[in-house]
Amino acid sequence: MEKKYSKYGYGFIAPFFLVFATFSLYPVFYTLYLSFTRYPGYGKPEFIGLKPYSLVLQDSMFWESLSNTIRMWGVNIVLQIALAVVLVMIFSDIKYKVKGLKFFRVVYYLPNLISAAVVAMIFAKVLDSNYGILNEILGKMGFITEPIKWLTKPFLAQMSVSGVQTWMWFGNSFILFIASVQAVSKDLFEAARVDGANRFQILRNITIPSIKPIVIYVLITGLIGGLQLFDIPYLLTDGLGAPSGGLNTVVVYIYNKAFTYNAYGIAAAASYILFTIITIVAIVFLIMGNRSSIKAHFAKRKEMRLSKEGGRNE
Amino acid sequence: MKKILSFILVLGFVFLLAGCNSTPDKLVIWTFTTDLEVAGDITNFEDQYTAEGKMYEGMEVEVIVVETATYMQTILPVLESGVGAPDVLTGELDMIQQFNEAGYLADLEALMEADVDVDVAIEKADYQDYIWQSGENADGNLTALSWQVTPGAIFFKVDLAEEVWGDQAGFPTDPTATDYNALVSTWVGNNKFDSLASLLAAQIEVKAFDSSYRLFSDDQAVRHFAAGTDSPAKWLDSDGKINPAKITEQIPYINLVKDMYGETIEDSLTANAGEWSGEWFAGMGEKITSLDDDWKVMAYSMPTWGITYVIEPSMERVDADGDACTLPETATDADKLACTYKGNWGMATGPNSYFWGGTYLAIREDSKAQEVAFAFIKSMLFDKDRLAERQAEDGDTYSMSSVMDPAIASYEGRPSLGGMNHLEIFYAEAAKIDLSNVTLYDRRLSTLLGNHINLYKTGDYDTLAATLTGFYADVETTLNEIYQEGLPTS
Repeated sequence: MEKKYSKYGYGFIAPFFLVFATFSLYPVFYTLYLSFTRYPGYGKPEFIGLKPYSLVLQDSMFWESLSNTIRMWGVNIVLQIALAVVLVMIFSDIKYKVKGLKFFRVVYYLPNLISAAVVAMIFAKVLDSNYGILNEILGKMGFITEPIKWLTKPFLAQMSVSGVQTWMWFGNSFILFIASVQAVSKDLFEAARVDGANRFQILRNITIPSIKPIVIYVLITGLIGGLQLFDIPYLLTDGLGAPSGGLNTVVVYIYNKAFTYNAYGIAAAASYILFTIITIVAIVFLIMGNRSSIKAHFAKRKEMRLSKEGGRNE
Repeated sequence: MKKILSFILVLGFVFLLAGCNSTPDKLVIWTFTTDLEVAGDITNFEDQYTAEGKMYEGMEVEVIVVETATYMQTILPVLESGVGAPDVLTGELDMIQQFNEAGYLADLEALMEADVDVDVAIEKADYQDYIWQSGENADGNLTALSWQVTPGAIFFKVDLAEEVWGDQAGFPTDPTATDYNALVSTWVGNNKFDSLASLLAAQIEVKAFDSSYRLFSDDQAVRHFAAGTDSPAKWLDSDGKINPAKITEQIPYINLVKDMYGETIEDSLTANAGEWSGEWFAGMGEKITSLDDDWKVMAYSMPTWGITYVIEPSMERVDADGDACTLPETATDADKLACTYKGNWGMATGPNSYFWGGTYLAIREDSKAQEVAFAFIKSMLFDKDRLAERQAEDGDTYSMSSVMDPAIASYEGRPSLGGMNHLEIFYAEAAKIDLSNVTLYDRRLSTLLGNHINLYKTGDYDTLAATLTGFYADVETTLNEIYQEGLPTS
């Protein structure tokens, strides 16, 4: 009887697997196939072996786009986490007893609810060097006499993207961090305070250890999302990486190869190279974040092996 | 359980039969423009063919509009798989070329020949050569056709031109003359817009006359003149590789863009207001306002549809006393009469003829509803009475002489252009367009080169040679199949 019902179970979960296979698994393998072909988006793909990979790996623009992506992601993730940690410090400080956490949680998260396209359109207007509101305000207030080239100098454009990304995502990190700090007993913070610990000692010894797993989670998901940075840099300028290729991220590169130049094989190969890079970096992050538990695991295994060997010797 | 299984099997069988039904009950049209619906083409077709008592009574017409930017990436997989594919599809010229390359389009000429109401020879003679030519596939069979021609021109503000160049020899002297805008247009076209070198000199003169005046809003305005000739070289040579002659042809244009560039508006020969930005539109009115200054832009490169849909809505308007006025959002005809165009625009041809856009109609090769699809094409392309009415309504330039000749002859002139007969100019320009040099790679190569020109103008490349070398490296990666060694770098 039990066996019969267990078969029905497969039927119940089948729809998910069908959808997953059709919309996730199939594109993954089809992209892999395309990465060995020359394909303009119609007709039959022409198999050309590893040539698309060799062309992408030799393309300085690909590496430049990777470096742009890392720079924008790096600045964003540091600012995002730093801002979220500062806010967590303020909101979890038992001395300040800041009220309105629920309200601020919503306010900080709001930018994340606005569509990236809308955010990009707004900031493109705000940051325009010649006609933008920001330069106008700064000029009217007497802070600048010459317009700042927010979107026409590559470095400033990249930092603008990082700033926009930080603004969009710090609320998300804050909510995750504050949730894990709130899981720690308040008694611990009070006991530390009674014992004479200052704010930074509390941060180092209680707050950070309590949010460490979440920081690693934010780092890894941020990395996966960050290396796929696309919407804001694509929409903020011309969609082709202007200024001076500064906003050409890896996914903007891939998108343009496929949809602007109809070079689907090149785009597919670049996608798989990006996939490999993300996998390697994610593994490195995981190892770095779990060093102590990995060390403990290997120490335990070594201990077990030694005890086994000791047992045999006896 | 068995009953449930039987029910599912029967249901599946019914669906299968429904799928096998050979009589189509729906005509599916995919388009990147809302024009077909806005201009009443769908309603007209329904009235003629699917209304009660008509040939295809009760047939549903489904129109799927996909925005231009994502049209190709949406329609190509659909055409490739055939699932949910359209019976009738629209496309711009380069899209049609890709559809033809992939063999998606039906032989329109064969369908025309099979129809007693359509005479291929008469239609071919009636249509502009370039429109007919552009709809032919590699075998020379017609697969797509457009009701419109879309040649471009340079539209400019006559009053600004008069301020800047009014004292130069030959500039028309009587602003009260009825054909003043036309006379100024001819003079400006012949003296200021006739070559790439003239365009550069004109920009310098405009800026020198008044530091807040600019000829163009941004350098995109000159991209249509990259060839600088009505007989441009092909992007690909006879071996299907990138053509060195085309590169050499582009060098004056590359240098022009470099010369026009300035990081600030003060340093630039343009107003640094990118195409389609709010400031770009604002420049068509009185002025653009930036941090400290106001800027006046004199000219815009636009095709036929640009005057109606882009420039006129942004133009300055005046009331009966000649004072500036604005139309209310929902303007009546009376409002439009009380607040009319200032009439201060002219139009001139640039260094070479060009076209931009255009909507072609085609039928999918594997469509099950080809007969109905052809009826739709007939209603759109071969019903000349209806086309004449449509042209009178939208004022656009059409591709058949049977419609345009009477329209041009009876045209009273465009008020926004001070009464100029823009239809006549556009129709004459269309006749100069030669598509024998167009290749499948044109748009892609122009975009790719454009990226490197941008790097050159902003100083990322020090020299023209470095710019071209960078472009070739990009072609080698992206479009490896057309790359060849030994391309010119100067």
